[in-house]
Amino acid sequence: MTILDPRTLYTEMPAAVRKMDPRIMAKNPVMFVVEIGAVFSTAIAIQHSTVFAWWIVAWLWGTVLFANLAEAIAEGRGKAQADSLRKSRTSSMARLLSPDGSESVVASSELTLGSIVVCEAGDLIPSDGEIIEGIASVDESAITGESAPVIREAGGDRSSVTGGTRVLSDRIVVRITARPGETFIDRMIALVEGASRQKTPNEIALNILLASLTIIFMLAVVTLQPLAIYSHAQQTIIVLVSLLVCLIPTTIGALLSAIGIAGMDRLVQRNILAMSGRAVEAAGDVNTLLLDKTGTITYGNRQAVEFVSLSGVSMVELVHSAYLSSSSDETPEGKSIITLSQANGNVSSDWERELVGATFVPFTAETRMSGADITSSDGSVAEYRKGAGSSVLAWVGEDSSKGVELQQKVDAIAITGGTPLVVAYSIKGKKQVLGVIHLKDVVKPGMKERFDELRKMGIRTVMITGDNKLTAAAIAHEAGVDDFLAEAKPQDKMDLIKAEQQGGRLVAMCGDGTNDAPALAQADVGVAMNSGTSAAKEAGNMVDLDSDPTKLIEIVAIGKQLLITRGALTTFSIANDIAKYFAILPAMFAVQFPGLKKLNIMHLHSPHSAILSAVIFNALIIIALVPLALRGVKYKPSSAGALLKRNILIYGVGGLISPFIGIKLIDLLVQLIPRLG
Amino acid sequence: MIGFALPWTMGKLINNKKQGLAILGAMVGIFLASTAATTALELHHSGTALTVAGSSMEGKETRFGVGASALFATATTSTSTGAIDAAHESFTPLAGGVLMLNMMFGEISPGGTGSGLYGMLVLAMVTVFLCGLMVGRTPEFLGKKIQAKEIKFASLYILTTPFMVLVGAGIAFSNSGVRKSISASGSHGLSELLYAFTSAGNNNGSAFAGLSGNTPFLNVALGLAMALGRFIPMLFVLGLAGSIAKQGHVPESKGTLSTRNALFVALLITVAVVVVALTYIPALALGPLAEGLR
Repeated sequence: MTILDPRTLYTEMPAAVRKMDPRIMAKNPVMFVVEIGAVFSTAIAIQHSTVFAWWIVAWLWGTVLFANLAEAIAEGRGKAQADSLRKSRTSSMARLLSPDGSESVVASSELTLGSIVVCEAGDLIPSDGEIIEGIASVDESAITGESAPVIREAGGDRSSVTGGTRVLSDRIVVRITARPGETFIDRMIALVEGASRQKTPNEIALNILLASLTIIFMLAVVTLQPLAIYSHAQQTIIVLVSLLVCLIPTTIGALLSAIGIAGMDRLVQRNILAMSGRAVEAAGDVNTLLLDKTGTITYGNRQAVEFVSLSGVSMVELVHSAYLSSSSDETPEGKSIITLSQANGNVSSDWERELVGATFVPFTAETRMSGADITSSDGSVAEYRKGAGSSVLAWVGEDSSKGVELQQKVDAIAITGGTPLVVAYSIKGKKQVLGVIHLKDVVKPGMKERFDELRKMGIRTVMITGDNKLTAAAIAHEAGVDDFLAEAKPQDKMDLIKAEQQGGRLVAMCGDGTNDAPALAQADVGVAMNSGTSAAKEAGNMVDLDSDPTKLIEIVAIGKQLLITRGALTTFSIANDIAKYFAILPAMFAVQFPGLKKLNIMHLHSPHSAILSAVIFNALIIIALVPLALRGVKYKPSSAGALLKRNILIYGVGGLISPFIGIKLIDLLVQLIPRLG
Repeated sequence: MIGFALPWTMGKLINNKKQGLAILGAMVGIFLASTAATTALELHHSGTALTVAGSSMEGKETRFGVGASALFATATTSTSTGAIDAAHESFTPLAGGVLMLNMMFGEISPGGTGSGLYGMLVLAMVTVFLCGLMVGRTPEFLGKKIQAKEIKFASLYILTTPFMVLVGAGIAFSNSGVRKSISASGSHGLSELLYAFTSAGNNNGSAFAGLSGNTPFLNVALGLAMALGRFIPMLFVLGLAGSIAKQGHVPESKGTLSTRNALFVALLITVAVVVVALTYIPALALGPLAEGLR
């Protein structure tokens, strides 16, 4: 979707006109003042009709309309999404299961909290609920846009289902956990349409500041008239209204709500649902980020990264045995050993032939080893094994000469946080330990850079893991997180959050399990995974439909971007005023006080053209900045100082200079209007 | 002296001398700029008599001369002292405008004892609010969040004096009796009354010498402006202080806007100038600017 399709200017026009209703406008004090000014000016233009008056009146109404248009366009972007969501909600039927086991078909709108329903392959799940029996693959594309089906099953952390999604296979029994009209999809529709939008704390504070600036300028303009009358330079109401409208912060006043709606929309586009705008703002303020190690920082499965051979054993020999022992191993670890062997370029085609007569020996809790038995052409059986150090040593039997060296290599790997896997074989009765495979929890690429970025933003990352301290420390070091919590139990997480909050810091975390729910509720920003339990989703204030924990970092960026956009446009709006003074003041008073002509540094054509140009610039800048308001100010993670310098330069200094150029250009056109005076 | 010393005291009290210095820096910056402007405008003049005299000496003690008079005038209008060593009315129009601007800032460079400091701190909070948003965080100043409540008090504080000055002057100009009190004609006369209300609302209630201030209307109006312009802002500052005291302390991080560096001082001065100048420029345009620009 492009940021601003010019056609939306027309399609959203009716919505913008409807917003002209004073009862709606009154919620936005700045634009309400403009509207009142426009009404006054219209009345006066009717009484004393001049070309100048009508042009001003037209552009004053234009200013109000453009402001409403900005909001309507921002809202319109969510409507398309809401419509497609609504389709999945329409009048599905549910198979209600009575306590006595009989089934009856009812409309899904009749389901209440605690109703039990049955869903089979092909059925639409009628409402949000928890699976209490069965396992099924579910197509959740209606809400996530992701076509690959997901598995949902009773018990555990993947038991929640969402109304409007479709069961693809098997049969599940679901207990409904949402009241009619309060389902996830209902809430989503309300969110993307902006219906449930409430003003966020910073937005309220900014509104107060804008309102008081408006009052200050009203004072300045209203009291100007007696001073002007005394100076024999009485001004018309039209001119005074023009001055007022140009001075009050209309640019930010017009775009403020569009910025807020667009911020929520940017989250929705990334498949994140924020339950409140407050949470989005809090995300920008986060000081501490709690990240689960598994699945967030690391891939979550251990992978082979290195072969370490013992003295007297060639590398090829070790890789050969490791390869054969893992050839039929379907575990991620086994597969990664094959991949590493191939990457080392040691695999020869002969090995494939050896595998013809192989039988796979799976891992059992008893042997704590896996491998393969290979019957060679002479009928003898070669056994290849890999497994935990102690088990393999026991299997090989006494081999004290290698025992010490092996222990050293195993310890060396363990100390870096890796898992050592010892490889041995038994050929024709001769058992030998060959070396060690280094398995490691692999840190996702790019994580270190992301944490560096976060550090620049002043955000501390803490890794949470159930691993022992040694392993946790190694991974924490590799990933570049600031701190870690090892051997963490759910209560530890909760304690950590509370401790951080005690120090005045804001904490963000994500989680999916029911045992995460208390911590999600305690955190200032709690992102629940859509795949998680409904308890988790209920506790958090955001839901990630893609269930991707790394999104927490993007959420923080979006929160910051939202605040920066507001601040930047406010600065721009206020900086604009200086140029407008240079345009309007000489225009108002230079006739009486010719000295003031010196202030007309833009050399505007005539007093009327100068005032009209300022009003037109003031209106057009709103439309010109709509794309910026919707897209958000460009945000690159960096320190506060660097961000401030950049934004002051662009929006402060830019806001100072651009109106000089803009007003001058408009004046060049406006002076062509006949009989403007 | 005390006015300039207080930011230093504040720095010591909050265990952050640099912050005190930053506030002081902003005060000194405005003071120096204003002194320089007044002096330059006094030396650079255009009237015939002034050209003959070499510089603008009307109403000045020859012992002090232009430079010392300009410095003293800046000092007295930047603080709440009432003393003068030259007639402000006789300053060149633009220099007189700068003196008015000193007071219009709300007496922050360094302002009255205590009141200058709180005035500057309120402006610092507004600066932090605007700039803080631009770094993507809820704005913080001295480890306290600046949110709706704080902005409400700060806004009311900033609103009060312009209200007194502008509404007062506006009503006065609509009153035909008052116009008789004005000695000078045209825009200089406008400056006389504007100065009186500016001084009443912000400073010590003095006026350009040409204004016969002793009329019932002006006495009451200026008196009201003086009383309300002084005490109402104090109420808002106390409210602001109460709301901030209730908050917990937010620790600083790299993502927090630094309020101690030169950039912040520059921004604080800019916000002070913009917030003030933007309010009073229309009125000033009809007074000092109309008179001074030829």
